Amino acid sequence: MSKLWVIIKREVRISVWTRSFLIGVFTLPILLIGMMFLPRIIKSSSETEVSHIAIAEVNDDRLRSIDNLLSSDTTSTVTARWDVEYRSVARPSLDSVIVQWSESALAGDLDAFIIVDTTMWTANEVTFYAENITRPRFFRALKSEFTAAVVAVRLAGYGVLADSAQQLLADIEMTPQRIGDEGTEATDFVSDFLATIAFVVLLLMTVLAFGFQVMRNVIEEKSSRIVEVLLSSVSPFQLMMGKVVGQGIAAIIQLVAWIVVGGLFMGVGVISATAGSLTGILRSDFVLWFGVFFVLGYFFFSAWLSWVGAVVTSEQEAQPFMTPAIMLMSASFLVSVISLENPDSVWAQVLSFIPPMSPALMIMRLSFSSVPAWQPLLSAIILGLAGVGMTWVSARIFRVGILLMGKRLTVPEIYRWLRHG
Amino acid sequence: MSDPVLVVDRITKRFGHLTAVNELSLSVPRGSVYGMIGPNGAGKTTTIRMILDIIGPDSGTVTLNVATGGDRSDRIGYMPEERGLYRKMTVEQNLLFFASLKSVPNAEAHPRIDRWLKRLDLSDWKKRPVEELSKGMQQKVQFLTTILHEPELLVLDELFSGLDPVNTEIMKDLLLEMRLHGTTVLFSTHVMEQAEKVCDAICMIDHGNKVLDATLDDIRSEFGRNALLVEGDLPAASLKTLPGVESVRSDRRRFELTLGSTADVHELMSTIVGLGYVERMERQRPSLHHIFLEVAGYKGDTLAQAEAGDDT
Repeated sequence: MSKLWVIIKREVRISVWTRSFLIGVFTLPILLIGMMFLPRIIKSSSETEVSHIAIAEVNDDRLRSIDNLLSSDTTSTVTARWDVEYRSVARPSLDSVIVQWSESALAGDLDAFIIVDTTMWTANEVTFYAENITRPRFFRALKSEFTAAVVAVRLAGYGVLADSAQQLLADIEMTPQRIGDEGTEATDFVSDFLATIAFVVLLLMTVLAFGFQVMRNVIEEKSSRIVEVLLSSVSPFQLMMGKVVGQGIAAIIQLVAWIVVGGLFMGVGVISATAGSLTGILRSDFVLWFGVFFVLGYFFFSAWLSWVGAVVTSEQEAQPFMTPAIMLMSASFLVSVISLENPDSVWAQVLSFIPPMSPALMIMRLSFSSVPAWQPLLSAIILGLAGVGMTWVSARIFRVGILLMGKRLTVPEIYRWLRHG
Repeated sequence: MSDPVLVVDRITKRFGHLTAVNELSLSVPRGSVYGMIGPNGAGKTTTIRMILDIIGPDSGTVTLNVATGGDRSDRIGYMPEERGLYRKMTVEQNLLFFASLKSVPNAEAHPRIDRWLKRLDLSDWKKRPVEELSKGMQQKVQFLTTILHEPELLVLDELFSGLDPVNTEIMKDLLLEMRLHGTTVLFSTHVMEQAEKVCDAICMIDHGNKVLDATLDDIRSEFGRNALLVEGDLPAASLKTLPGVESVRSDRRRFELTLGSTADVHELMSTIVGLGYVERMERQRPSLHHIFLEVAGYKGDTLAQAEAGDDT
C-alpha cells in the first residue's frame, strides 16, 4: 500500500506543481463566468440595434401603414427597433425593386426585405430576402412583429382600431420561478441553460484532461524505460492504480481550486447578476451528484486511457485507441446540449444510465429538471461497475503491454491478452 | 556456496512458439559477483525479469533468501538494460522517489544521497533536472537509484552497455566495493571479456538453455589446461595425428590444438618443435568467449542430448 502511495504522491506533485495548472485555475472560471455573461451582453446589444427592412406589396397597399405598426414598441417581446421602407409596387416593376434592394442588402444598408403578394392574405406565406439568413433571433422577432402587423391590418377590416389591436395582440411575459426543496425562487432560462452547459463542459473537460495526463505519463515512463525499474518494485496493477488515483486527486484539487476561485469572484460581486441562477443550480444534492459523477466518470476514462498508454510508444500511435473515448465524450456532450430543450425525453433518460454517456447526461438532467433520487443513484452504480470492469480489462492489457517495446499492436492481439492475460 | 541468496529452479518461459528460457536453474552464492553471459537473445533479460517477478515463469520457481519482513523486492536493486529517469525531475527528486519506492524513509535517504553524490562528483547537480545532465552523469545517477536502499542483491542487466570507458572503470570499482560490503551482484552481459574481469562465477546461456555454470576458477582449470597455440611453418596434417591431440583449428600459420585430458603437454611441445619452424608456442587459457563458442558449438552438434542432460 505504501508503494501505491509513493506513485500517487509523485503523480499529484508533477501535475499540481506546474505553471499550466496554476494558469488553468484562474483562466477557466473567468471563461465560464464570461460564458454566463454572454447572453446578457448579446441581449443588451440587440435591444439598441436598429434593423433596416423593406417591404414591397405587389398590386396592393393594404400594408401601407405597416411602418407605424412595426416601429412603434407594441409588445414586450420586441427586441429590435425597426426602420421600415414600404413600397407598393406594380408587378412589372417588381424585378427592378428586388435588384435594387438586393444591392442595398449587399452594401449593408438593408438587413432584409419582404415581398408581399396578394396571395399572402389567403396562403399566409411571404418570401423574405437577406444576405445573412442565419440570425435566428432577428428572424424570430421579424416574423412575430410582421405577423402581428398583418393581424392588426386584418382586424382593422373588422373595425378594430390599430391601438386596440396592439393591446389585443400583446404577448404575455412569463417569469420563471423554479420549484425547489426549499421553496421557489426566481430564475432565468438562458442563464440556467448556460450554467448547465458550463457544468457539463467542466465535468467532461476535467475528466478528459486528467485522463489524458494518465495516458501521457504512462507513455513517458514506457518510452523512457523507467517502467521496468518501477515494475521491479511495484506490481503493474499498483502502478496503474497509482497513476489513476494520483491524477484523480490532482483533478479534484483543480476542481476545488476552481470552486474557490469562482467563489471569490462571486464574493466580490463580479457576477452577482448571474449568481442568482447559479445558486439555483448549486443545490447541495446537485453538488454531491456532480462530485460523484465526476469521480466515477474520471475513473472509467482514466482506466481506459491508462491501458492505451501501456500498449503504445507515442501519442500519435495512441490516436486510434483513444478516438473512441473522445468520440463518446463529444457525443455525450452533444446529446446533452440537444436534450436541454427537453431534458426528460426518453433518449436523454435512457442515455443518462449508460456509461460513458451517463455523467454528462445525468448532470444535465439533474441541473435542469427534477429527477427522482433513485435515478442518479442507479446510474452512478452502473457507471461505477463499468469503471471496475474497465479497470479489470485495463489491468490485464496494461500488464502485458507495458513491457512490449517497438512493436505495433493490433486489436486481435490485445484481445488475446485479455483472454489469456 | 551453502548459502545462496538466489535459487532459480527449472524456470521456463515461452512467448508464443518461442521458448525464451528453458528449464533454467541457477544458484547465486551470497557475496559473490555472478555473471550471466550469452549472446543477445539468449534469454538473459527474460531470466532476470522472472527473478525480479516482473514477469512470471510458465513453470519453475525463484527463491530469494533475503531478510524477511517488509517487501522482498525492497532487498533487491535492479538496473535494466534500457535505462531511464524522469527527465523533468531533479536528480534529488529522482533519487528520493526511487528510494521511497524501496521503502527508504526520506530522513534516511537524504544523507545517503548527499554522500553518494559527493562520492561520484555530482553534488553540484543535485537540484538540476536530469535532462540537463550528460549521458555519463545520468548513468551514475541511474546506478545510485539501484543502490540507495542498500540491497542484498543487485541485479544489473547488460551492465556495461552504453557506458563510456571512464564510467566502465567506475562501475567495476563500485561492483567490487559492493561485494566487499557483502552485497551479492548478479549481472548479465554479452561482452565476455568484462565478465572475466569481475566475476567469481558465471553461467552461460544460449537459446534459453544453460550451457555452463561454474566458478571462474573451475572453468579456467577445466578449459585452460587443454589448449595449445602454435605459430610457425608446420604441416597441419601431422599435427592432427600427434598423440593426445583431439582437434586442430588452423588459420594459415596459426594452429589451435585442443588436447585430450591425458595428453602430456611437455612431450607434445618438444615433438612439435621437431616438426618444423616454430615461431611461437604457448599453453593457452581460452577466453570465456572461446569457451562459450566451444560449449555452445558442442551443444549444437548433439542438441537433443545436450538439452536432455542440461539440468539434471
